[in-house]
Amino acid sequence: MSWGQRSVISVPYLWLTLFFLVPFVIVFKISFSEMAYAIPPYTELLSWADQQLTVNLNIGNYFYLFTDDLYVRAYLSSIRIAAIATVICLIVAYPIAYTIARARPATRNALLMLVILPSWTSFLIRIYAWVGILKNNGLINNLLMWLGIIDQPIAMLNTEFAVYIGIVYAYLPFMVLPLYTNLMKLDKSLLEAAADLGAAPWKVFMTITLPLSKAGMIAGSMLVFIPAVGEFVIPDMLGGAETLMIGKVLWQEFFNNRDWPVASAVAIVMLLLLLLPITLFHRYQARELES
Amino acid sequence: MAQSNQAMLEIRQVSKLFSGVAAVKEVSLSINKGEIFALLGGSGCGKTTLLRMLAGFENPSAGAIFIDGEDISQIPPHKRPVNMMFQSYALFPHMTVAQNVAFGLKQEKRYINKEIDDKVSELLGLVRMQDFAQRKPDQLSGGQRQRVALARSLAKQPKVLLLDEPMGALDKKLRSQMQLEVVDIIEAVGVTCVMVTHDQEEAMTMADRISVMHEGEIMQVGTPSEIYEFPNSRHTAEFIGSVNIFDATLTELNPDYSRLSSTDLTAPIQVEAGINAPLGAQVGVAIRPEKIAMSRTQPNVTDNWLTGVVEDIAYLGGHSVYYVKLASGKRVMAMGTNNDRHEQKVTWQDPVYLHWSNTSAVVLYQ
Repeated sequence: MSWGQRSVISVPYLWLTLFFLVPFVIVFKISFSEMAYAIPPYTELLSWADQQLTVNLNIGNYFYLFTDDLYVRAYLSSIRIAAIATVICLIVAYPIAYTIARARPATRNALLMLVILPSWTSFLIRIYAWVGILKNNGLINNLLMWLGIIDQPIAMLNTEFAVYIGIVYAYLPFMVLPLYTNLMKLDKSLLEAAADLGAAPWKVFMTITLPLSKAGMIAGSMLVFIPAVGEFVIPDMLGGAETLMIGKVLWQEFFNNRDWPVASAVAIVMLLLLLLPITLFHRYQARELES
Repeated sequence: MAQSNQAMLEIRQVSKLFSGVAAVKEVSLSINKGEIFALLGGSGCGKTTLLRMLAGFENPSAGAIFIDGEDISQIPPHKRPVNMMFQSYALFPHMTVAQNVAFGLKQEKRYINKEIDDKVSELLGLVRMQDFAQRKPDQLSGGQRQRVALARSLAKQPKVLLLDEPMGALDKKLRSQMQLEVVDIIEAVGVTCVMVTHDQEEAMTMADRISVMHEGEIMQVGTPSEIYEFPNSRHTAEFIGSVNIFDATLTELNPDYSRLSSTDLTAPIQVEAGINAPLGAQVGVAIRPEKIAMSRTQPNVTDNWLTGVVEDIAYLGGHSVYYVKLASGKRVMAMGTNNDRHEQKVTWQDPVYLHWSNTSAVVLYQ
């Protein structure tokens, strides 16, 4: 490798080391310390006194996560909510991506633009807008009551339903784009060949289009599922008190309880949980690239 | 060749317009049962559009297509008794060879799995691919993929088999081998076949009859030798093989021979039989290079000869093509077989005489 190639590659590596690896090591370190009323609010791992180097590794934080079922429930509920939201995203995004990929080139660019356009506004503002739409005297309830369909507002805000709306809404482009790229690559002659061999249009879709877009579905699902598990803003603003998600627990540990060591342990365990799908995804991608 | 004169495929006055522009213009063809028929033409001549209309991927703007007496013009592709072998083969990459071949059979409810398995192994035997049944398409060579594609398109026993540039994806050496192999398989099955190709050699090797297409129209239909020896237009003559064409004026008209004069030639051209044109008509006269003999001395004839200087020689091993420049500046091609290794060959800048018999020249009216 030449000096030029090395320096080009070193830039992203340097970036990742500085802003991902170093903070991660710090969090990892804090997860083994004890909470203290100090600044910073935790004990040091290494202490030096009387010519003795003491290493204080406190694994109690990790045990603590399993003694209080709040954490286990929060992990499970995060994974469940993220998984269901991912499936809804997939169902909603597939027809969108399919239509865009089939559209004429001029229309295609306009439709793609419409998918990306909402992300030009702040994420926070867009989620906040949903509060106004979903709340008891919000847009939907007022409209339904005015039409006389309901006479009591339906409670939508501060429910899991609202969290699904938020996640699906916010992460839809991350599902649409990889699916679109995948469907664009699909060789049209394969569809014609299937029709030629007697497959009706829906059968062509089920036997050719759908299996061949598996890579796109997996890529999109990972891009939605992984950030959705740790999502904080959406459950906090739309989910209310009854929605339990690990992102919220993390926030509370850090900022309400000021228990940095436990919060760090929560973060490390979440990462370990996500490592499994990420590894599977990478292995699948490597296999796809080989063939 | 197993063919009767019963028409399997009838194309009646079929036209196809793409945003107002005609890709196919009022084409009518009748293709016999068991026949291998080639649509031959350059790119953009409408041959592929016509084939896609037979498969049902495009609908004719006008006219009708009949298969076995039934009008199929409005039937969607998946219900037509027609199967196609695609130029890129379009094998399903996520299925094995066996699953690819079975795909068509599985679309019909009337087969049980055992029957499908038997048919698939029979078809793979036919194309000598039994040992590759469990491979994926990307693990096969070009020739093997083509065999699988052929087996897949024959699986449903179509009434008409369509081949889109069947050898387009193969290299030259494999091409000539596969041409004969594909014809053998098609004839063994006895299916009526329509193929599209831009390669005249491929059409002449594989097809019983050829239709030459140009700008959406059919220029000529005939057997390979009819098309080659009796072209009816300049375009056909030039498209199939090499040819010398002289612009000529009809000067003498008799029932059993005619004479023409060309500004390029000093001697008149004589052709057998009469010509269906009045005296003074401007026509083209086509002479194939292999019908022209070359000598160093003036031939002892009054008609059908010319003289010039050898400007270029293309040595092709078995034969050579000599490019002879006439006084008028026109270049004439003549072919000579290299049957004597020690022959004192004609070389560059040699003055030579070319002559031909009165059965060699073809008069072209258009």
